Amino acid sequence: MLLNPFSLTILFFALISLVIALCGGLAALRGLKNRQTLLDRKMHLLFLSASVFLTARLCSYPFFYVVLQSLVKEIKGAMCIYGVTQVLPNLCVFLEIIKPIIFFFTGGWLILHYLTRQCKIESLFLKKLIFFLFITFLVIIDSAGDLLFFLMMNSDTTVRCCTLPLDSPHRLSATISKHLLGRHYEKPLFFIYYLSNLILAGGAWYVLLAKKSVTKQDRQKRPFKLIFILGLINFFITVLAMFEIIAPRMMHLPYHHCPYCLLQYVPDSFIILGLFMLGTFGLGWTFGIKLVTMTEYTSGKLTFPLNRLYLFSISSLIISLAMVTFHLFL
Amino acid sequence: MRFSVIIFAILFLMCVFTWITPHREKDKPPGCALDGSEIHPLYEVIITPRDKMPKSFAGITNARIWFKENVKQTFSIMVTDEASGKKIKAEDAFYVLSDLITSEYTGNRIHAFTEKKKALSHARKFKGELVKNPFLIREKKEEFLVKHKADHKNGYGFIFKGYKNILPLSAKIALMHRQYSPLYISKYPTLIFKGYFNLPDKPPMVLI
Repeated sequence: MLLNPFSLTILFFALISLVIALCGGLAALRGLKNRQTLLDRKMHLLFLSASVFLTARLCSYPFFYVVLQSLVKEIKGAMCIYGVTQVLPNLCVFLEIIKPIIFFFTGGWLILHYLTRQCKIESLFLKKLIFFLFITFLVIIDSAGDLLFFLMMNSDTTVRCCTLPLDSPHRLSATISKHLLGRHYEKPLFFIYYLSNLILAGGAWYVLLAKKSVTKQDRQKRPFKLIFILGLINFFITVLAMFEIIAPRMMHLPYHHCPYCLLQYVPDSFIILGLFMLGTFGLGWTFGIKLVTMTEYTSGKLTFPLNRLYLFSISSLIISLAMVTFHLFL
Repeated sequence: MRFSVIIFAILFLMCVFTWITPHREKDKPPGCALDGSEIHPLYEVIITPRDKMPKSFAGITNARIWFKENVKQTFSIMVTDEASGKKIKAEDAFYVLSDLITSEYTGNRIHAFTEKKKALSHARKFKGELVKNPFLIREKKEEFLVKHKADHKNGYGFIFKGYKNILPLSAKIALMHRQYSPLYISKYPTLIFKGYFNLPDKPPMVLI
């Protein structure tokens, strides 16, 4: 077990989260069994404490990488976070996949809770409870994974870092890019990256402008689903471009394709990636909330808050793109 | 709305200031040209590209990755003799692949020496063997598109660079050279993907 202030904090927080998620899940199950009590004070208290707990839990996603970065010097052979992930590679891959998923659902629940409180919508109580139950299940898995990962980590392990697996011509991102765009994929991929981001931001902006029409039919027609799908495609393209073009250029190391080294060499890339993820998630949150709150949305209660959420997503995406452009061209 | 605009403006300014700060170029010690890692002088490799500044690498493994991508650009390669610490030409060195790892993060196990005696002594000590110059890499051959012929009468044919209407070749057809030595298409020429072949420099006569 490797102990430093960061790893101790995440271990402590994972333990607390595990206990709170178990208790919260049990309380939510009880609430589901006795549906008459759904509007009781207890349930309101549960949601209040859940919102505090889940807000804290949101921070655990970036903090996970802070902890990994703090352990780089402790592990033999580690040059960046990639080396630390190689101590327990399978568990770490699992955590790296599940953490953004939890972030997405937790963020969605918090926004839903905030909006329903702001707009005084009581009809979604049951949906929120079921959604919360689902999130507690994910949080339990994530917290247990955190505990296992940081307790099992051993400083005696010698690892190989990012150079060989990520700079090899047979790396996954290069193989996919070659398959999709041909052997000389760099320029087309870079062009598609910009095009895709601009189309997404433009499309979202168009939907936002269309929201000014306040009739019920117009509101129903807005293509949130299409924008969300575009967001997913853009996410895939940006990940490819980040590995293949953006990270090497930003680091001034044209043959080094490690995004973890990017976080180390260019510290503000943390903000670039964070804003990009928030922008993409924001589109998903808007789409999800529209699905869940169809009747409230069409009645016009949630139009304004969702507009703000959309504006937040567009701004995040554009600032992220602008920052990348600054780094690459100025 | 105002609140979010202010937050974004602050974030944006913060990023611009971070970007302006000299963390990128000036303060950074010169690291490996491949991955930016620290260079140990005993394992340093210096590659000089044509008409460009020399590039330093943390080890032979890193230098090879860069070299594979830039074979045509490379003018000279200098490796470090591990016994004396002196820089020598890559083609004059003796290389040993042994159990001793020079840098843990790349796992490089290739060592360079000026004298064969010292190379053999290292090989004996660390369970290694002499290997060829790792920088002797052939350039990649181009891949050409050849066309399949639907049917043929005499059963003979040639594969030429850029030649059209080649014999219909399936994956398990035995090929014969002029010396009638049997070869399989999976070996030479190589079937890569539906009609793409790594064509040889000289066209072999093929018999079906």
